[in-house]
Amino acid sequence: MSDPTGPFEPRIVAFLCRWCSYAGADLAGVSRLQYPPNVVPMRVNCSGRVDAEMVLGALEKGADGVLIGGCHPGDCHYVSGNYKTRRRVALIQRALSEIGIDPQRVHLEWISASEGNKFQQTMIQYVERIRDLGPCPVVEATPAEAAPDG
Amino acid sequence: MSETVRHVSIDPITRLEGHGRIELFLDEDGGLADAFFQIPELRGFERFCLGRQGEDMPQITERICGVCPEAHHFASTKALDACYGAPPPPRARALRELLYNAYIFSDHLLHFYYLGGPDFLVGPYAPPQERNILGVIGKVGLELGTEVIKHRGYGQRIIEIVGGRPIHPVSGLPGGQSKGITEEERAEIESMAASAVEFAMATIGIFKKTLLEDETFIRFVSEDSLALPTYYMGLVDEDGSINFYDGDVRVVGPDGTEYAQVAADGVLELIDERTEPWTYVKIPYLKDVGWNGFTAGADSGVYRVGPLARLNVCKGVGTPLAGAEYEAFLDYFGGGPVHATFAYHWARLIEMLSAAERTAALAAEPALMDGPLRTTLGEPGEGVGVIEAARGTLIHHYRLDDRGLIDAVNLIVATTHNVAAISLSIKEMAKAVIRDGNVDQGILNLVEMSFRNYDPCLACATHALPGQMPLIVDVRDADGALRRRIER
Amino acid sequence: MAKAKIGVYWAASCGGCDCSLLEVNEQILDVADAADILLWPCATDVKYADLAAYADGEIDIVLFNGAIRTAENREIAKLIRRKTKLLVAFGSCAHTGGVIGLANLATREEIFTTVYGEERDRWPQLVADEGGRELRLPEFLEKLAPLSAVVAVDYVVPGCPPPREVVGQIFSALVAGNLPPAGTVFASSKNLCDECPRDRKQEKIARILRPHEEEPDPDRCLLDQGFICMGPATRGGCNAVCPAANMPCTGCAGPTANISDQGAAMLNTLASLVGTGEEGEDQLDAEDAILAQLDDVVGTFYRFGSAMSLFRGRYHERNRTSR
Repeated sequence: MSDPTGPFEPRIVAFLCRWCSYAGADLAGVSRLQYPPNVVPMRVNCSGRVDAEMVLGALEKGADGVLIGGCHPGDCHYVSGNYKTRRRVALIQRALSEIGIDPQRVHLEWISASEGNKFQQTMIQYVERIRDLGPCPVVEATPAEAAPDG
Repeated sequence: MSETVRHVSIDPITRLEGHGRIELFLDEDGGLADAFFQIPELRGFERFCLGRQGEDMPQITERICGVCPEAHHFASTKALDACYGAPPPPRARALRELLYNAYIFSDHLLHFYYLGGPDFLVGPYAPPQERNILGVIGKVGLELGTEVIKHRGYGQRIIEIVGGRPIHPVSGLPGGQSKGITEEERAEIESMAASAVEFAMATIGIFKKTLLEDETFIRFVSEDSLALPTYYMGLVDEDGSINFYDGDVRVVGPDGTEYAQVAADGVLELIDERTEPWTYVKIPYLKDVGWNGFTAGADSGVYRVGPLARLNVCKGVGTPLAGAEYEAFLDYFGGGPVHATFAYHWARLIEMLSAAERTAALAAEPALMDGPLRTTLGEPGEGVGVIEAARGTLIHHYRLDDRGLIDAVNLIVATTHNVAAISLSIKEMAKAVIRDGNVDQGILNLVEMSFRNYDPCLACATHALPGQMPLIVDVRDADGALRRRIER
Repeated sequence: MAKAKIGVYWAASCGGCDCSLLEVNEQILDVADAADILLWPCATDVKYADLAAYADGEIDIVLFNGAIRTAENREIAKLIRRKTKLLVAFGSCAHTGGVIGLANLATREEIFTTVYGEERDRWPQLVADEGGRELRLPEFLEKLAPLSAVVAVDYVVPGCPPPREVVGQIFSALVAGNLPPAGTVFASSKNLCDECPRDRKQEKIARILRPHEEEPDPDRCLLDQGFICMGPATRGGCNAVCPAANMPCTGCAGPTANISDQGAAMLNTLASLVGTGEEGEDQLDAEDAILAQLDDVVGTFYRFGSAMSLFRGRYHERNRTSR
């Protein structure tokens, strides 16, 4: 996808809830609203499914930014999943800023099934924001972590 | 004729807490040319304590040492008492002191029977496989060996009852303790403490029959070259008696005259430190006397802490049975201050007895069972907690920000104060015993015995930070969320 | 039956795990009867040269505590792995990196600057010349790692330190000659809440409390009362001694088996529990205010697990140069 010798191309993982934001992404698709190929959409049943291990895992595996798309407050198909997501994202962002990663690398956005435009704009803007931040710094494999013996 | 050995490493040094190595360099005649005491470990507590919640520090800093966690736990708790302007109520204070004296008893017992003592209890020339607690039990017999194990267990059990866990207790809070004890537990402690007093007396009896009649010990304790005329530091209470839990810091000179007596927060002014490129530990010395190399004397800033030092700075031990033993100790040496390094073993046992006596007395204190466990806290600020760890004076100095987080931290840890003296003792012993290039394991063990006097804790030692305090500043927005962290 | 050959070793350690082996009191004598101790620097005089001289696999089992902090820790871990048939990651530091894993939040340079000051030529050196004598120090590695990062580990014993009962179990198995299958973790497979006697109702947390702010009710769950207790994300097997002492669990036994990141799991838990009692758009500000009461997320949620976390500690401000 990206040329290692070229300019930085952000890799974004987008966890999208099937009832709202994933449908919104589909709508953007059929409406032919272009958004950057840097985004890898992943459908989940509810934004509330997305937990801290998934988000941190995505960053650890090479994502430069993680975006979570959920239903607007009051519209969650499972009633209150999105509220839990919101609290989780707040805590994840706190942890990230304490360890030296810009908390903007995890972002929560409410996007409904009818908001194809909003989906497109959100993705475009988020890719640019991460492009400005640069690649997510990673821990170098240390000598201690070279191939284990025994 | 075999080739002359020129360089020997003792690696690792053993029967102490922590990592260390001794490098010995010999001259053409096979005698000692130079010796170096290297500490190859460092973990960086001073750094990662920044930004932590103040009240978490007793549990974090106690992981500096699992042999003396109680020392760090309560130096830290006392620093927090000071930070919050919240001296603990009598019940909490009594509980802390009770636990603390049980700890001193237990730690000193550990050293005599498990760490440094085996060299004499089994014998300095015994095979290496026997120079340990199992060899001691083999020598003194299973009955006494069981008493050793049982009484260490008593010390640990008291710590567990009062502190919540036998290793890495959890009860210390700013201004108090997290829990009390039941009457049943108090009675159990009282009974264990009474037995501990008897056992400590018996241990002194064993000392007098073994070490004090062992020709190697006698030689080492009377040998001038193995005595170091250093300065000494320790905590004393208002009567000038030893107090492990609290007091003023007193420093005396090699001739026994007072050099300084300051409250806890004044001690940092007395000390400066230097680094050497060949060890991870830093080396403190008395600032106003100055650094005069690894030497001992009135014009050298090298000073010592721990049992021998405490007996040298105090005017008395503060408990009756140990007090009588202290008199006998001074008689033997013709008065204080006592500079013979091997006297640390004796001083340690006098303290072990004193701590047992204090534990027994505190277990009967009515204050222990009645009254509040906590007091109201003021606004978070800056404070120093000073305590006597088994191995010497321990200082925790914190500054808390307005959310009670650590934004500056300074730790001066017992064994660190002794590092220069330990280096000196190792060199003097190596000079005394290495002849004609003979560095067999028995000779090398004699060299190790010189540091075992100090009961070093090298995990502790690699955490000194006198001088510049590291600083962390958290920039928060109006909701208190962390925006940025700036560190020096 | 021939005596078993055992060893104990400490890497970057506080010595507490070594002491925990003595907490079994007289049972240590049974161990001494059943086994020869071939390595234990705290308690015996076996040196590295002696260790290197053993045949490969000569030791039956080594209880290895402490984390891999220096090149020497790493080197000795590899040496021990060759010399022993079974290797146990004993205690929190060997298991997850422990409290000292918090050092990974800083770079080695930051740590050295804090400890030794700004002038680098006064820092300890890997090789120093002292009047013609060469003196060496092992490298302080850039990141601290648990034992399993450098060698294969056969057993794990969690805890800081492991509790007396667990040590007793291991010693009994050793003496009887029947250790459990390799891969065993010597702790409960359930979380701490399962054995904690406090009454838990999973109430909403409307106010987050730090232990010194209020005296807790001795019978109710600490989390229910608003104190951050790591119990839900932490292995049990310790009799919940910290909650029994009115202090919250700090997570020293590491995560239960189904959790990949202990701190993250606890963040999930807290996100579910924080609330005003109602969910709705009108509660969002109040929820934010509750979350803002948290003061030290890493120190609380990752106290013992920084080195094993998904991010391994602090990311350094270096851009990747390649994919």
